[in-house]
Amino acid sequence: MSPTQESQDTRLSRRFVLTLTSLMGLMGASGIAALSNFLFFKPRVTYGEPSRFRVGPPESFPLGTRLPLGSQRVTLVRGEAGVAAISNTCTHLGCVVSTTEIGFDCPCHGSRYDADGTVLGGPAPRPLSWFKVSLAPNGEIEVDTSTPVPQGTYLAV
Amino acid sequence: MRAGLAIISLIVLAIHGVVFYKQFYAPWQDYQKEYFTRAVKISDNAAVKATLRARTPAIEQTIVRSFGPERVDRCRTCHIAADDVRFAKADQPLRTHPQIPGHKFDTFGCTICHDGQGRAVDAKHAHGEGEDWPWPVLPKELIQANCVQCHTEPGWAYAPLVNEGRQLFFQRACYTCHTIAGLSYGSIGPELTEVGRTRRFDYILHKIQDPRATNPTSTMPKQDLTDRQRMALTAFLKSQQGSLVSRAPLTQFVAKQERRPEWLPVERIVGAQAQALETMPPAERGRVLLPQIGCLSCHKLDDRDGKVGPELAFTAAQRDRAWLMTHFHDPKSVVPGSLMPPYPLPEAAFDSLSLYLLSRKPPAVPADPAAQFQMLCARCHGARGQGDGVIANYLDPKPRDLSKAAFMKTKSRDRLIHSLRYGVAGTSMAPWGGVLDEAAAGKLIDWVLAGVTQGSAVRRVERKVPRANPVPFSPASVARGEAIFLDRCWGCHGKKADGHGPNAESIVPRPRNLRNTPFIRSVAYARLHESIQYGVQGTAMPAAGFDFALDEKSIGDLINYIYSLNRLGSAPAPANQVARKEK
Amino acid sequence: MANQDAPGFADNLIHLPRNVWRSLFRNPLPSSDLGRSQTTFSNFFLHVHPVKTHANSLRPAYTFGLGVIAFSLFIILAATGGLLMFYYVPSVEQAHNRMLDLSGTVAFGVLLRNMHRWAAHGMVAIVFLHMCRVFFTGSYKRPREFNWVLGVVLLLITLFLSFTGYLLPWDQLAFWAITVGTSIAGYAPVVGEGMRFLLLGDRVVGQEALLRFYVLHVAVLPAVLLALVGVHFWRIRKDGGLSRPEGSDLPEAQKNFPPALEGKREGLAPAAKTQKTKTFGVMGLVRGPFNKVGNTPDNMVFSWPNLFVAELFCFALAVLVVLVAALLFNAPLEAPANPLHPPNPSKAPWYFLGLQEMVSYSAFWGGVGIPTLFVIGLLLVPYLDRSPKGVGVWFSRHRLLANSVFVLFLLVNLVLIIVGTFFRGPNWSLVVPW
Repeated sequence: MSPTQESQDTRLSRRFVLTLTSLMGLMGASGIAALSNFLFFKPRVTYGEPSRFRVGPPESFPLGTRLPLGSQRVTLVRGEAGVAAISNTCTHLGCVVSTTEIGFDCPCHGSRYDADGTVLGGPAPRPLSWFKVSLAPNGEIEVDTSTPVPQGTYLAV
Repeated sequence: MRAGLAIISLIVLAIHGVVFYKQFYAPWQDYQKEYFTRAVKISDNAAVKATLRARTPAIEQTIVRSFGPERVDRCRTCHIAADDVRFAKADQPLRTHPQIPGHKFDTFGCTICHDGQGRAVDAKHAHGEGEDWPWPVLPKELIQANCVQCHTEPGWAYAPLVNEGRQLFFQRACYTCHTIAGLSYGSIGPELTEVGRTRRFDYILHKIQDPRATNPTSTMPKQDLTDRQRMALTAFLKSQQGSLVSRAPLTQFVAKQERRPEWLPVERIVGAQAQALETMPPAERGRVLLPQIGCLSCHKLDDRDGKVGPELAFTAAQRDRAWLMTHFHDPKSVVPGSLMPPYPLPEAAFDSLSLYLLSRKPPAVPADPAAQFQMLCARCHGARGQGDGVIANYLDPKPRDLSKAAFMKTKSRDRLIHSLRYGVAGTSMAPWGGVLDEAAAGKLIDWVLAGVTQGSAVRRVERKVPRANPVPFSPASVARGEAIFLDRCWGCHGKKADGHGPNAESIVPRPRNLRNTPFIRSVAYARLHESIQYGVQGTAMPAAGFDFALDEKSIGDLINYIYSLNRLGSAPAPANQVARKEK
Repeated sequence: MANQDAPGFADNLIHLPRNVWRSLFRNPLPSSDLGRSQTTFSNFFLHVHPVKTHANSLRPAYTFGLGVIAFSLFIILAATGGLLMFYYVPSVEQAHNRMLDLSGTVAFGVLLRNMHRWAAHGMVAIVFLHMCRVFFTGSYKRPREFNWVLGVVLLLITLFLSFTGYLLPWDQLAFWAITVGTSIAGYAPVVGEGMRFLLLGDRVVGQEALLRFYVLHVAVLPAVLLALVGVHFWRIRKDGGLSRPEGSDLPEAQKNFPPALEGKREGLAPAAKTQKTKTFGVMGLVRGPFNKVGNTPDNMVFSWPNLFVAELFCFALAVLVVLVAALLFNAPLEAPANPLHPPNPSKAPWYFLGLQEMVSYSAFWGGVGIPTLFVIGLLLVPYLDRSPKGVGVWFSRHRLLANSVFVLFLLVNLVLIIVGTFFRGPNWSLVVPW
């Protein structure tokens, strides 16, 4: 190879390497920035009712309890299998259902559910959600309304 | 250029990477992970272990809306073990919080008791360090200041420091200068109704400790307090937050509309004792009342000494009832430069106090002039008579520097003895004639002139001055006098003739406050004329008669102007000193 | 030492107005072809237009000016919206009160708000009609595929703009319409709930949702829309202008064009006079369809003034209709939003009512499945129908199948919307509206 050609090649490949590096750097940074944007938009705190909260020790809920917790929109039930939390939000348009001995009634448009939240009548399209119930380190029952679980999931206590 | 671009790109990429990575490793996340690990280790319940293992770090927050404006408290993001009793011995931030029955964290949050900045998730901002957050986390002793926002019953057992502070607020006379709505009325110091909310606790503490640290012109006296007393006062003041969260809007509205009271009921100050006080004879009542209403946070009596005001033990020899009552109602009317605030107490209280003070026999005065000086004079004039006594800085005008021969040796002996025995009206110099007769006074003066006054080569010169004003008092004369004043005098005496002219700060002794009516009224025309015409040796008052070519008539106009400032329509009668007691 | 050539200071002062005017407007109003070219080419606001436009593009019965009307509506919305921003506060406590103030104490508040509302509804409808026009004239075919895709994206952005704006009054209508609309979004599998959480900033419609919708509505979406509209216009230029039927370049075709244009013959390139001199410079090498310069009959007319008059007419028409609508009909403002009190029924905005109607049959298919398929279908249309026949003509017989399918979809959508609007009552039961 002639000297000029060689130096041209070196120059080209050096140019290529530098361009590639710059491209990688900036594209990589853009990619991370995009990911960061996604993280940015996902809220880390919300300002309504907390979705995870403690309701008390298991002893406070004897067998047969069906306790509606108004502001958290959940009913705490104690069956033989343990403790569970059923949503109080009607699946039709979001009203708060009233808890009865044998089920739930929605005062807004007349939906009816049985004790497990299955729809018995009315315009509700889906059964009531069940929420994750777990045991906190200080011994209290903890309900997490941001995590739905299949119907019939109890926490054995 | 390409190389530069490549380098910059790599640096930008690196920064993005680092920032992104750090998002997942904030200190609070580390604390939570540590807690989960340790809690799992010491757990024996499988369900609990499972929950802990499934937990990922998340921001823990409590939103409190039922106690005043919305608070968002995220303290438990780091203090995640606050309700886990097994961590009672752990290091912060993973230590258990003591259980307070009836105060669940989910209902109350944290900042409502502890202050601090609830929304932050890093320690520095959450604890409110730095200047920008007015409510830093309170030290343990001061938390009770927040408890009493809800637990408003007076004398609540769990706020001992606040209760003690409230007592001190009265005992140390704070209530006479500072207003707290519903508690006290004072117009000299700033209002403290909301000081607990508008000021940081350390500011309050330091202000009590040294009032002039941040404000050199403050007239707030520096009180002798123990550390505990200072903390108690701070706790009490921190509890004054203006609107108690548990008070209904209507109650607060009504409280704000309250008119300023003429005087405070004594019960508010002495509490339950008020009943017992009613049954006592007046002088006895005064004896019990005096130490509790704050007199001794400035004055001296027996073994208590506030080191701000004069000694009270000689009152019976110096004053009469009329003077005392006037002074109680409005100290500035007898001593215009007095720091003492008007006391907001009922007439009966003043009565009792006067009777008590006048009933106390003054202590025996020793025969030796040196001992006399220390006992009677040193408190104001200083141990060596240099005008630097313990309370000198609080008096206006300041006590005379008796060591200056230029002043002392150019005044007649009679005048000095007169000042000693009859006092100087309008100043804190009391009449000592009640304990020093003519001979004793003369002896003391001689001793002062010989021992205290330094320097000798000064002579007194007799001056010839008119005994009465050659110019009759008239608006025209006053106008001329004013013109002269504004031409020649205001640089030291001030445009308002109150002694605060622009040159005043650098002159010792300070220029006279010419609006000191009791003083002006007590001085003979001749003396005023002489001071102006010939100056006052030992002070910066120049011989205006010569320096400014003021003739007798001009000086007469000037003095008419001064009389007009003090609402003395014409020259007052020459012999008009304030009541004195002859021994 | 006054020089004849260099003007003195006094002269400068005397001629100040003239010099200022001339420095601003360097080209006189055009009176010759050269002037017309120069103005269109060099003016900042005009230079996205071609210097010459094809006469077919100016036929009202061809495009009905729908695209220009849509853009005019956007300008009206931006202007009225920008003004409304001076009084509106996106806070759940204040939003509704501010709306009341706008209707009460703010000068022209009612007018501005009404204009904004009706222009918004109008824009959704017009954009949709514009899409229909483009479809029925086959104007999505090569080389205009990507412009069609851009158009579909712009349609979605317009719908999203309308949706985000719908929430801002924070009344019962707004709150529940958005609750229903975002619930439908939540039906998507796997990502549905996550997307809903991201959109609302919380689990329920509240302050976070209001704030996010506000930011999207006043800043993000208008910026994106403007950028894409810019590309959309640029694409028109690159594609050789609007589509036209075959043979519309021939002299015989002139009879198809409106008499007005013909009669005026303003700036119409004379068929016979062909000059080889170029009257404007080419600024770059252009691949693809290009306009022959002045030496073949091409039925092009100068954009100045023909195109600009037409555009101005569309804009004025849009302004007139919006104004009249604003003066005759008030935008609704219902009771303040009450999360505890859903009205029965709660209806989404009219352009989503078709969706809501479908949802009442099947949540997934009605709310997510079919709409997604529909959008994908739309996007793929120009890549699936690649026959070059039937472009530039309404309802060309070559395109019977495509047009019929599209008309069917239109009718179904229309029926669904009508049913959803008028024939659905409490609990979404069928009712008769008379």
